[in-house]
Amino acid sequence: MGRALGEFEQLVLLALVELGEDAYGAAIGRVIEERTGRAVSAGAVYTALDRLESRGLVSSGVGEPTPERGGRRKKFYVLEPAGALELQRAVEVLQAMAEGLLPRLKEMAGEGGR
Amino acid sequence: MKAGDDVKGTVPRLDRVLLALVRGEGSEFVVGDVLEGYARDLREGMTPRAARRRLRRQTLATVVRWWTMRRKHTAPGFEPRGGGDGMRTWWRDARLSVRSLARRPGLAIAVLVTLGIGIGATSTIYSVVDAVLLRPLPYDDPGRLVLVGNTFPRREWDDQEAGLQHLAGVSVRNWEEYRSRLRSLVSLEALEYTSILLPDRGDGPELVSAANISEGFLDVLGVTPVLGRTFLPSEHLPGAPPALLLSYGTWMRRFGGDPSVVGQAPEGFGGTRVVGVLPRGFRVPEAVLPSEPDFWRPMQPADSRYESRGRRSLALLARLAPGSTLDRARTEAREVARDVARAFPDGNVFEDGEALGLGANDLKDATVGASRRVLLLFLAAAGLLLLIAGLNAATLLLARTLERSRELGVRAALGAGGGTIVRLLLTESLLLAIGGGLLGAVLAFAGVDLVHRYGPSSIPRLDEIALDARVLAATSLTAVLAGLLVGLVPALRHVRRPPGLDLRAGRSGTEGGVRLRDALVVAQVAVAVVMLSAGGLLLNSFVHLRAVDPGFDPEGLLTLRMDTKRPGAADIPWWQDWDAVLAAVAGVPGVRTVAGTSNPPFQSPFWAPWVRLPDEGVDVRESFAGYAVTPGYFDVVGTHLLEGRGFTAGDGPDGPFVAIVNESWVRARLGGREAVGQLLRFTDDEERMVTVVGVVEDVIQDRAQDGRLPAVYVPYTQTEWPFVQVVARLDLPAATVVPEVRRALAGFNPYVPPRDVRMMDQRMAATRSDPRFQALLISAFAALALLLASAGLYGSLSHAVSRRRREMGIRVALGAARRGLVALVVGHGLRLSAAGVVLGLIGAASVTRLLGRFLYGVTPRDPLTYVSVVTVLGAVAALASFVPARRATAVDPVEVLNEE
Repeated sequence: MGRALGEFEQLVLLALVELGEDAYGAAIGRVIEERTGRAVSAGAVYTALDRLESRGLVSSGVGEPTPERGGRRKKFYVLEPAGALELQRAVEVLQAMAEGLLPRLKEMAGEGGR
Repeated sequence: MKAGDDVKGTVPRLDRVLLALVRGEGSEFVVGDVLEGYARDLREGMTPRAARRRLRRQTLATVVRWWTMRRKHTAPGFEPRGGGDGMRTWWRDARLSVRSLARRPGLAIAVLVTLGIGIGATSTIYSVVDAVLLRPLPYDDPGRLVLVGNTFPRREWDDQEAGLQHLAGVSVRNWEEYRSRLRSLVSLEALEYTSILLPDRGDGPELVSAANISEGFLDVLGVTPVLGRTFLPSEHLPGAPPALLLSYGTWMRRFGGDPSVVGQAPEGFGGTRVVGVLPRGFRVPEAVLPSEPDFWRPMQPADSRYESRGRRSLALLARLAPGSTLDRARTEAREVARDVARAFPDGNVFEDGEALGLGANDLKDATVGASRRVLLLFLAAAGLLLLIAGLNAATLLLARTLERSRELGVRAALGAGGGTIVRLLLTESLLLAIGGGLLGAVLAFAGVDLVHRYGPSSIPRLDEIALDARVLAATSLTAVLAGLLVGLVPALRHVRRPPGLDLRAGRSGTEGGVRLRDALVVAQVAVAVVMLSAGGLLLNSFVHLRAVDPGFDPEGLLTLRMDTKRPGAADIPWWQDWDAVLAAVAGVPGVRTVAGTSNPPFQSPFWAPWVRLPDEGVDVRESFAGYAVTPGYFDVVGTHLLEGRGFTAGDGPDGPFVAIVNESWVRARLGGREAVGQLLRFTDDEERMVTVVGVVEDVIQDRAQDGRLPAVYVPYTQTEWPFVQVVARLDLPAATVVPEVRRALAGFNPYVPPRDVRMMDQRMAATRSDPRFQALLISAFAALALLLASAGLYGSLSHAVSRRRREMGIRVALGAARRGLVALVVGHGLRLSAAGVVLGLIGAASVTRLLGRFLYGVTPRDPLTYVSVVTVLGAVAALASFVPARRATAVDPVEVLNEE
């Protein structure tokens, strides 16, 4: 079964789900940023993707160069079925743990307020 | 900006450079993403500045992450959080090591101190070696600077092995010729050392040093004044208004650092104007002038006093032309000198047809000179000390590891891999070494201070020696390497014998470790023997040096230098002035006897007359040390007359010409024939026949190693020697007599005060300071080495005793006498020492051969030294065994048997 997905890895995989075919490094970073409000560096994304690829959870391909990128090519990533399965499990695990606890959590955090 | 526009043009250079650092597999995509993000920001309306800021953030984050996350395959348990996880394991190891070391503070301190001593000694010596040998001289492009000078036909080399020619001063006219002809040397500039007499400021007229320099001299060194200007070309012409440059020190000392002095003509300087001040760090090259001149003046080559080519007063400095080498320059110099000598034979050609040559030395080599060998000797000694320290530390750590076999076994059983344990052991030794390095740096700091204070004056560039960044970096490197190597010993030992077996009761499986420990101790003893031998030989040599009969009595002998010409008295024969000088000194209370000489003992003679036997031809060229002395000279200095008579007042300027020779001369030239009555031919300026009237014993003329050279003495009155030195035998202490002597002489000639007023033993101490320093330093190192080796021996024996407690308890229980246990321990100690001594003597035999040139009166195989070393080590071994042996006898068999 291997080890569990890290938190960041989960975010990356989820971004792959959203982006579908347009999933390359910069786009993934942007999705995460938009959805979570967290600034991500290109390096972090690619490192995570490399690790996921070595575990067979994603696969990659190379696309066309664009002048926007200074003539550099893009690397596309595709979520493999194994990856989708891992992700689903991870999300379910978290949901199972968190089930019903959100109100309480809000209460505990609520002292400080937002 | 539209999608598809090339974004390259607007990316700031720094970001482009940083992104270029992201290289290797997969980098293309990452970099492309960063650039795309930037392009997108601009497209979406972000201000260029904000977009650039964001780009910078992305770039930096990407670069950092790229290089810390290079490792693609990580150990299990790795979580993708920020930061390099490699760091985390080291930190954990470090914490564990500190805790484990804290449990045995004695061991930690012992290793720390040991390594500290070794590293401290090495760093001190390295700081000297670095400053003197390694660091380039503080001038522009110093590697191309050369010293140039005339060479003599029979004495071209000072030290051929070191590549140093014997260079003498050059005359101004010759310099001008050489300069115009030489191609392989550019900027051939000159410096003439003179002195200026400054008027009385209350405590007598002052003679200060000055340097007359040619136009481009400061340019060659790359020096520009920090205030004012250098000399103008017009100031190098005769008749120009006199100008002066101040050295920084002079400016501070005499003028209080007042900037307004520039452009002024200070009082008492005869209208000479100060035109500038030289920078603070600037120092004239030591090989050109041994001491810094106070003032700098423009040399005026056209001046008539430089007409004679016999007046060789210039030191020359030049740069190698681009593409030229020292060898090529030397070859060309020889040719040029030949050409110049042919064109201007007067002053360039000797009477036998041989000519003055020209040579060059690399400036750095000339500065460093003989020090190189000595410093390498010291470095070797420090290295050996570090070696012993390292062996000692390794022994301690190894012993400890053997004791920890149980603890390590437990760790292994709990899952720590072999690699982890090795890493643990290395971390411990590294930490100790770093601590040792810090201690060593502190010790080196004190060491460098000691060098400055007590080091022999012959160390060149003494003021450049400091504990600076370079040396500290070398120190740190040494510490780290030491830590790793030392830790490797127990670590490898551990790897060879996995601890699983040691979990059992009993100590089987560690015998190999014990043998290794013993081997390390033997090695320490061996190295200590080598160092003690070297130290012993040098000490022995120094003792011989001191015991050498100098040929005169140095006790209470005062020497000083006088110039007896008075302004306006040039036509008075100068020796009449001399008599008055001697009478004045003789009148001072506390002065027993006085005489005059051209050179007192222990000073290189200035004069070397050509002296031949009447039947010898021009082809016999031997020059000897020549001395011009007053009657009674030999009595005053205490040199014994062996045959014939001394000089008297009757040996005057008109009387028959006489001379006295020394025994070396008789041996060298007469082969033992009768000397008194022998005729000699002096062929300096005019030919003269001289009769030998006496023979004196040899006197040491320069450094003791030069021994006794043949010498010839003539009466003062029968020669024209302008430099006059007074020697006086004192009855009272120098402190009371010297000021009176100065006063007596100052009144006599206010224009030229006495110089170089010193007691003879001061002079001698200065020339002996080298061998003394060498002997003391090496002996100090050897003593430390002995201390460490004996500590190692002691530690090892103690360890052996504690390991074998059980065995000893059983022996006692079975009826063995306690004396037998002592014999066991002492026997072990003696066996280790003996093995070390044998190995050490073999090593010493080869090493001490290299000491040959440092020794005086002692051969490298001197038996006394080696016998002493062996004896000392035997005594030390016995002492080191003492306490462990006593502990062995104190073992209680009942206690031991109850233990398991």
